[in-house]
Amino acid sequence: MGWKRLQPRERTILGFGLAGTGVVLAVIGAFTYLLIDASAGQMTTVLWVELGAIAAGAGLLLALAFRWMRRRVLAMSALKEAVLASTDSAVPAAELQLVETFGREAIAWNTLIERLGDPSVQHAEGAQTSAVAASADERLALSVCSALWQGVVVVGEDLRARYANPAAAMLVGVNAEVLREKPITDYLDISGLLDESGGVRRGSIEIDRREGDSVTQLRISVRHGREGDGSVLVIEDVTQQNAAEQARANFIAHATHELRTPLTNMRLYAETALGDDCDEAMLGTCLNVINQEVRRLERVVSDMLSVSEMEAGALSIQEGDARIDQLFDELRQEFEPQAQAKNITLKFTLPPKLPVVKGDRDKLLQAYHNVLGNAIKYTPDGGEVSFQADWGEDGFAVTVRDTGVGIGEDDRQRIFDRFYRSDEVRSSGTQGTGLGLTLAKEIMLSHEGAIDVDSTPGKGSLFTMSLPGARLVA
Amino acid sequence: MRIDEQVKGAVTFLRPDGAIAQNDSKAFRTALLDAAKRSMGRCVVDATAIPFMDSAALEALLDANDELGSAGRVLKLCGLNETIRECLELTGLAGRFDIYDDGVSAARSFL
Repeated sequence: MGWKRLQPRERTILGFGLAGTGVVLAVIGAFTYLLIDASAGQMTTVLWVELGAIAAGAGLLLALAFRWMRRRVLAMSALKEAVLASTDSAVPAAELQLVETFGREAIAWNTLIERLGDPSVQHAEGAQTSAVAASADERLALSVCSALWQGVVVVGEDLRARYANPAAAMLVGVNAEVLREKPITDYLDISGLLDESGGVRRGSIEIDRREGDSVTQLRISVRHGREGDGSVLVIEDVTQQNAAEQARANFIAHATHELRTPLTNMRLYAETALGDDCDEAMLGTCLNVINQEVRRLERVVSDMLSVSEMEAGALSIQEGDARIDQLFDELRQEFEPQAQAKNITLKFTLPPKLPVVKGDRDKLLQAYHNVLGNAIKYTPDGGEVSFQADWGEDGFAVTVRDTGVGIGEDDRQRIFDRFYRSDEVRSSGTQGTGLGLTLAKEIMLSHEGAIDVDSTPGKGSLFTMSLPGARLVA
Repeated sequence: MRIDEQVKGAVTFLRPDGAIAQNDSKAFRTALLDAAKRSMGRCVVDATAIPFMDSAALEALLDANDELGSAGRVLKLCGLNETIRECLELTGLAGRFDIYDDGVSAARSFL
């Protein structure tokens, strides 16, 4: 340990100690020198003085040593206290600093504390880091909620929204900020989800939300969050699901009716034919009716199969040469008796020569059949249906005009939809699956053609089916 | 360019007829945003009769997609021809939309 490594106070103490020892030794030396020629009495005095000086020097050294040791013990004690206190994050760094007079350990400790920084600050930083992490989780949760197409609203006991995602705002029809201003019951009729105390109970309801002419059907389900977190309302737009379910139910009802009616007729006429009193003429009639009903059943099933193929994207076209004159002959043979039965004037206005078309003969026949069949079906007794064809370089067009019930503007938008039948048609009791025009359109489109309708309710309709010139073979 | 609007079930189909370029893009954008709002996001662009569209029309599609995206929806397109499909792929926009072959598939996606 060198002199320079000692602290100033240690140097002072050591200096005083050495100086005091030097003085004592000097006094002893001086008095010992005096003893050389001294008498016995003087010698005794000198020895007492020397002993006194030694005692004084020793006392001084002990006092200095005690003082130094005491300070060291105090420093160690303070250091121990500081070390223990440093584990408490609430104690700021300034309070952990030791006075430098406690020695090198105190200085080293202060340096260490400065290097490590303030524990309380570190604690706050730690808390902040946690807060940042929590904030990141929150952001992620908000991002996920914002990406949902289902509305999510968290309501408290006062039924005010604490949180609403953008989808909820859109489905409810107000922005998220406005949604928080009032109880959710002010915006949505969720009375079916309220219990006796006015709180939200677990369950699910469907409500209609009207905006102008449009109606949106919302399904609202309640999930309870953790205690104190309120209730979570999940809002789904089920308008399309309900529309699809309704269409499916309608189709099943229509299909069942369409299948059952010919079967009933077939059974009745078969029973008549098997009866004992059935003569030859009656038997012929029965077989004729059964034959017609079988063909009708075949068409219904064929339509259904075609729609299934169409839905599956598998409506196949068997390309070939279709002689239009032959197709029209078949149509004439089939529909003229029906028209006569309803006293409808059916006029075929055709050019002297009809083309050959490149396409699927059976499918094209089905398309023309469906449109002409509808015209006769929806034209009242005594009406008129005209079937006209024209062709040239631009293509081949067939127009079917009737003096039937006509189609309203709203229905015109939807008559080519699957299973769609207008309310008037349904109420009139006219049979049909709502598939005929859908198929006709798909068939024309699959031949790069088109089908259009123009109609005046109460006066009649005009359907135009066209095929492009590229489809003409000759 | 004419824009036909048709509602199938609860889904609104916008069917522009003709190329969408320059001034048409503005009308297309307006019609698209309006339909998206009215239909509560149940909106499909039927591109069957669109031969091509310019960058402004693409922007209109993106605007509508952003509008729908803010409510958790994605703009659905159907009936794209090869030109438009390539255009979307080359510009890296194809992944931003839900693309269907036909309207039935697009309508079914809302179920």
